[in-house]
Amino acid sequence: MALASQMTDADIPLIEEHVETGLESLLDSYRSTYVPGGEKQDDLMGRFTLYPGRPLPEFDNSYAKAYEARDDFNAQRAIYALVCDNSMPVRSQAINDMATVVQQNLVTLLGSGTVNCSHLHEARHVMFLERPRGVRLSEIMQKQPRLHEHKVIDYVLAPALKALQAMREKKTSHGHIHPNNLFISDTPQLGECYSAPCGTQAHYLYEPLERLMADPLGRGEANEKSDIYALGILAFELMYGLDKVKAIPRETFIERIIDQGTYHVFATNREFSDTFQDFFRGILNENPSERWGLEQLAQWIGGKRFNMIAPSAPKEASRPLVFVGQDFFSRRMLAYSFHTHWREALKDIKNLKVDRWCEMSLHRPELGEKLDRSMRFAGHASTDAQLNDMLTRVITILDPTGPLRSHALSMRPDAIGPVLADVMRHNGQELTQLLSFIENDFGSFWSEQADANKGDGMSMVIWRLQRVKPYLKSKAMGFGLERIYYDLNPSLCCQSPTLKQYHITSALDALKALDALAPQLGAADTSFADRHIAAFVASKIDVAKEIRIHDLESVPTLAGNPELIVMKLLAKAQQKTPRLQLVGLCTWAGMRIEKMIDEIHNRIIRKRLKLQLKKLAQTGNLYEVLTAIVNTDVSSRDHDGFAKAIALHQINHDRIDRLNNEELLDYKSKRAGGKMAMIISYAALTITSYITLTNMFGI
Amino acid sequence: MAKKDKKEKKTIGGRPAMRFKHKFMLVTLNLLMMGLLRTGYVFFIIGMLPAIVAYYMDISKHRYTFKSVFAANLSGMMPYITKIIAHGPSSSGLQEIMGNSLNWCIIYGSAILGWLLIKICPMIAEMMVNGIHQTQIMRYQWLQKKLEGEWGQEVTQFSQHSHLDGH
Repeated sequence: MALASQMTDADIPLIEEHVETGLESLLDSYRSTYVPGGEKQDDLMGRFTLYPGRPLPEFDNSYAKAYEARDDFNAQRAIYALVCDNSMPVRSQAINDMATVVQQNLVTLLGSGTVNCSHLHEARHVMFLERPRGVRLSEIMQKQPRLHEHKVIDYVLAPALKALQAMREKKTSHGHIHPNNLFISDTPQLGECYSAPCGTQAHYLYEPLERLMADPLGRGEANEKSDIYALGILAFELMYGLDKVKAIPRETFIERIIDQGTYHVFATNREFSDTFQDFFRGILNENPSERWGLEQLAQWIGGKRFNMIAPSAPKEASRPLVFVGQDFFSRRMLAYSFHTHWREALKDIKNLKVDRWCEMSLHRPELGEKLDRSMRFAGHASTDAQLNDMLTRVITILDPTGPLRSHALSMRPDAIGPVLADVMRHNGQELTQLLSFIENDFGSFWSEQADANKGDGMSMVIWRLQRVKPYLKSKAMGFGLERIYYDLNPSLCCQSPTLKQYHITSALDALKALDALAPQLGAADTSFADRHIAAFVASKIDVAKEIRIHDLESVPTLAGNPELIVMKLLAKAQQKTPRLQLVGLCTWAGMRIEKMIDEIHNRIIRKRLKLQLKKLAQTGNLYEVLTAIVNTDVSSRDHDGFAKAIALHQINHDRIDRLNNEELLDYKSKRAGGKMAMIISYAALTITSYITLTNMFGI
Repeated sequence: MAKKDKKEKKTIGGRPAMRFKHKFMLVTLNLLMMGLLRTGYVFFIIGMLPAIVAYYMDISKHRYTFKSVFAANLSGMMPYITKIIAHGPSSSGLQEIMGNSLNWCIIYGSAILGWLLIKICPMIAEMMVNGIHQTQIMRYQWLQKKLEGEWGQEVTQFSQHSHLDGH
């Protein structure tokens, strides 16, 4: 037996496991012509040069660092560069709209794009801007605290109006109007407004109530009316100063504005000239629909007088609602108080009978009905999340023009993207609440509450939020939180640790960069399963359905393989540029697939597939490389064959066991021996009978 | 159930019951022998005693011992039976055959040979069957190695389980 077994082992050579595919040598010798992040350092389009050794801290902001720069096409022009943070989105729409737009009262954006920054050893989004002429208004204010009305109009309002009109023509807004961003010279200029989210760089006083209540990053895109409001505050500061108002804590200031009205808070014991009374009454209005826009401001500067009536103090209810020991006559104030006293509001909301108060005291039965529906919707909500969501809805109904509010967040729906970027940047605890805004479609709910919430591209924001909602539940590659992150922040570069330093902003660049980096990534045995790369590419090529590999369903270990899904996403992206050949990327993919091929059971198929990988990689087409493993014929043959092989092995095993059975051998031997003995005996009998009978009959 | 009962009826005291065909053949043989041998029938019965003993001793299903002893015993008896038949039923002839101890040695010796065959043949058969089994095992092991070589050790997973279960 042992001898037989040894002989069998020696006779059958096992199929060799390691097959030399030649992929490693191919990848070693591969060099891409594309240089991720840009070939030339500190240079944009061969025109702009960044001087990283010459910082300009006076032009820095929270999201960008300023440096001296040079325009090689016009060396006389004074320009500077802003190197942006690569974890936060820039105002890409405004950049696209305003690029190269020349308006003498607005700093010109000369160019922007990815620049390989030598001092950071990485690529960043860099903007090259005209260097503003003159002195900052804030510096003038230090020397000369008050300006005359005419100077305010001539040096501030009129030039700013022209700049804002130019921006409105391009359907964009400024969002950064404050004394530090206005430069006074012969031609006063508004500073840049592209590198930081709107409303993040100025004092909160420059924001109207509906934006003031939001967190700095949660204010979303500015609009024409919020810019005009900022101009109004600026004019007030120049003429009367803001020291007294600045001394008021933010919460108290908001409460006063809601309680008394913006105009009355600023106009306390103050007599405005006839001219400026109209101006302040038109602009310092907490109701966005009644607030002045560019037309009214232009007419006012042109000399038109409006005879505006002072806005009345907003007292809405006939009887107060008592909450945390305070009487509330205004629903806006009540909403604000609910937000600032979140825990108490959660506890008392059902006993306060806010819906009854709206019906009986505010005489707004429709509001009462909405509140009742929202509270019934939560029903006997048991989880904190459900109660929090209910309170968010209640606050939104009570103050429809205010921001969306949760326990830790206060933001407008169009700011969800930048806030998400910020929360992910510092792993903030607010993520759950932020995601619940998306999951519960609070954006739509918010926009339905007031007509003022529907304008200025908000419908696009709401559509985008609704579109990403289903992505949140998906855990597949290309979806989930990361996908929302990129869909809501189109200007963000890919945040994958592999690509972040190259500031990749398009799927094509991602493919080219991965192709160029393939020799290092392949050598380091890097996996393709990178959620950021997958989500970034899926977002850029607009993949709406989860990628499934049906051809591999019979190989369960490969069917849901995240690496294959990322490869398929990259292959889809490559298809968008048909002539693009990515030999490096394909070779790296081939090396990863070589390992996956080991999931195929049949060694002969394995060997055949491995041997063709190099040829497929050389085509530079990812789909071709994927066909090596994503192949119905191969997978089904392997699956069926393996099942048969297992069955056959088991049958043979049982047969061998049976043949080795001593009892069976004994039984068979006895039976065969018995038969043999019987046959011999009968043969002897036949012979004897034959002989005796032939003798007897004398034959 | 009925079938089972029928099967059960066929064995009596561990020994299979004689079939009607066999009974008929036995009765016919005896009647034939009685007719042919007359008084010599006593000689036939005495001479066939080893076969009769073997019939009662062999309780196996196929009764190879009985069959072998019977055939060998009968082949030893054949010359004497034909002699009796040829010379007719004379008591002198019968006495001559029965009185010669060599005849009894031949008759019982042939029965012993039949019994010896039953003892020796299984040994020979064991060697042969074992040889055949080993050849088959080698062939199956070769097939197993071929399967493992082509599909990897994973194909052994159920075989190993069944092996463990078997233990």
